[in-house]
Amino acid sequence: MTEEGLPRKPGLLKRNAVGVQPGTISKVAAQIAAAENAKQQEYELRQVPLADIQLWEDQPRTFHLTLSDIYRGYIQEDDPYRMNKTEELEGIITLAMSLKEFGLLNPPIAFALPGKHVQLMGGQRRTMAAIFGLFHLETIIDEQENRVHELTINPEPDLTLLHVERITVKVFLRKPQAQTVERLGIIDNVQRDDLSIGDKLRWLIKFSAHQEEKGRAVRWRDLVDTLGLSRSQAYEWMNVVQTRNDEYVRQVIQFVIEGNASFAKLLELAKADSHQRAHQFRQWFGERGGRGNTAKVSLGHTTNLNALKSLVLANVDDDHLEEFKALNWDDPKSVKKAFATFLDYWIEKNG
Amino acid sequence: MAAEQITTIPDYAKLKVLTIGNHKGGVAKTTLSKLLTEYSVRKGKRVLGIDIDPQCNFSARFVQMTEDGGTPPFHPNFDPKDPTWDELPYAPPGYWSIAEFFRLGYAEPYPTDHPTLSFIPSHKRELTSFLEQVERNSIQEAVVEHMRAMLSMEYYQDEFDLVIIDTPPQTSALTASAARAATHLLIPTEMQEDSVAGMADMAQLWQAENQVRDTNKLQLIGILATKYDPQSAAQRKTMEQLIQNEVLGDKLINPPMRYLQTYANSSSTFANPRSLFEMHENTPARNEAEQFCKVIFERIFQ
Repeated sequence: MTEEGLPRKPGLLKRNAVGVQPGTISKVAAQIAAAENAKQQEYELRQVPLADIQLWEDQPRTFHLTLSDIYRGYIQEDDPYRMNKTEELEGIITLAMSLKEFGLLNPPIAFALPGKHVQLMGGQRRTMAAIFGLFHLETIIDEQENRVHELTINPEPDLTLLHVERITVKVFLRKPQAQTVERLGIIDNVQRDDLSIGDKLRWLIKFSAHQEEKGRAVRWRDLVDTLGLSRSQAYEWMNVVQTRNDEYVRQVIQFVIEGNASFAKLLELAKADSHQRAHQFRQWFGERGGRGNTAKVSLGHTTNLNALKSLVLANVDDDHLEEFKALNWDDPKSVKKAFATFLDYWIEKNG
Repeated sequence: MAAEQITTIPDYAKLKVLTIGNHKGGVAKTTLSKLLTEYSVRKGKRVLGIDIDPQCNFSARFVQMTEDGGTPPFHPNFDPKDPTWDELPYAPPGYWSIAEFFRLGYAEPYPTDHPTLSFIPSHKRELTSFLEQVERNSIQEAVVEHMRAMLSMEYYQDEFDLVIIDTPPQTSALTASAARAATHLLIPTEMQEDSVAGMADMAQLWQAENQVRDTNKLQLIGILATKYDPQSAAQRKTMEQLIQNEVLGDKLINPPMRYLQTYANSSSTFANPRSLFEMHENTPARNEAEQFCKVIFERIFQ
């Protein structure tokens, strides 16, 4: 209102024509110039919002932790995989703290889906750790001016933050072939943190089957490149590849994948003559084709070799008595070996 | 690893494929598609119109859609007594649409009033359900390659000179598929903030597309200012900003498409006269349309 109490005439407040924000124009121009000059390339580094990253269901690492566990920040009491998940979550927390401190040194790898989404091929844990860090870690500065990352579990985090927080991802522009995806996943894992023997072996068997279908042989080079083995190790592994269809070797491979047998045993069996495998297998695993109890028992330590001698000699039957008596019971190494033989004998007899 | 990747971007012998797109809605993509289709047909080109927008407005212009406006009519070749229809792996009930094109890899184009114009219409319900299916089964990759693979078939190469694809205003596997199939790209935009910003998304798709192509890059025909109102100071200012920009200035097509009621009137399904180009020579919209269509047409067939 003016001083006379009359309404102001419309149109007195003239504004300049605004047009479009200069920032918008330059952003569009930059994007168009980039598109026009785009060269063919295999991958690019992108800043992807966490919400646009699709996790990899079929990753080579045995993993139980799910996204909802990460969102929640703790493992529920009644979770069937509670033990495994707790262990995995501890790893994630360590990783998340390291990400907060050092950033992402080695970006996860993915391929581009149409639209904005990307599909992970490797770096599942890093991505989960980034999400965990976003929701459940708080960085504070303590009295000594140190940055400290504190765990602040927030069971109901604001999921919209996932659209804001971005991480660097190495994005392949076209989807590689399924086998390449698997191989990249393995390579990516090997380059950072060693996989368990079981996981490597599982990939190897799958890979060998693939190659066989295509009529190609697995080369030791493949193993060197993908699993990060040395050449001599690769040659040893090749024995397993070549004998993987043998009845006993196949079973032991399964035991190793399940964590119920050592890889050394598998190698030994693969190298043995084919007619000796049955005997060897039975000696190790008994008639049932596997140890019922998967837990290992350590039998402790002793310096009293005499006690061991009397224990062993008291329990072997006459057929083997002489054989055991003849051993050098003063040499710890020889006693160790003898006791192992005795255990196998005992298991075969009573197991 | 490069060798292991599949490089299946087929080449066209001489077929041109124009995709019209902007991620922002309501920037006259469909109106422009209709105009360019009519113009190219009048210039003697054999044209195939493809509508991948579930709204079906581009389709309704050339194919008499049934009463709900979202379903194509029976195809003239459809004979209910013909047993071959039943032998099809998935027999559509007498019509073909872009949904069948994606599902079966085949769709019979509809003839139109113009002898040299054929059309593959959209289908509101089928296309929407197809899109949901694609999302659910994560088969976007397969869909993206599909349209280009189809159009590189001999039939399309021999029968047509130009394919015009109208896209929906959102990012989906279908839009990506249209970009993969295209040889040329045309971006219409209004002279206002949101539409101009929407061009960045389209350019991102364009960039991604060129990054997978070694040769035969996707070419930008240009940016056409649509619904332009010279009376508005803000729009004049925006236009000025675009012209003065180093990159965008060259891309802008002159003249712009002004905000004229004639465009809307002439592009409705039952418009009379049938086409803007049949109106009186002095109609301002007709003059303007002939000019910018000529520029676009020449850039495609240079």
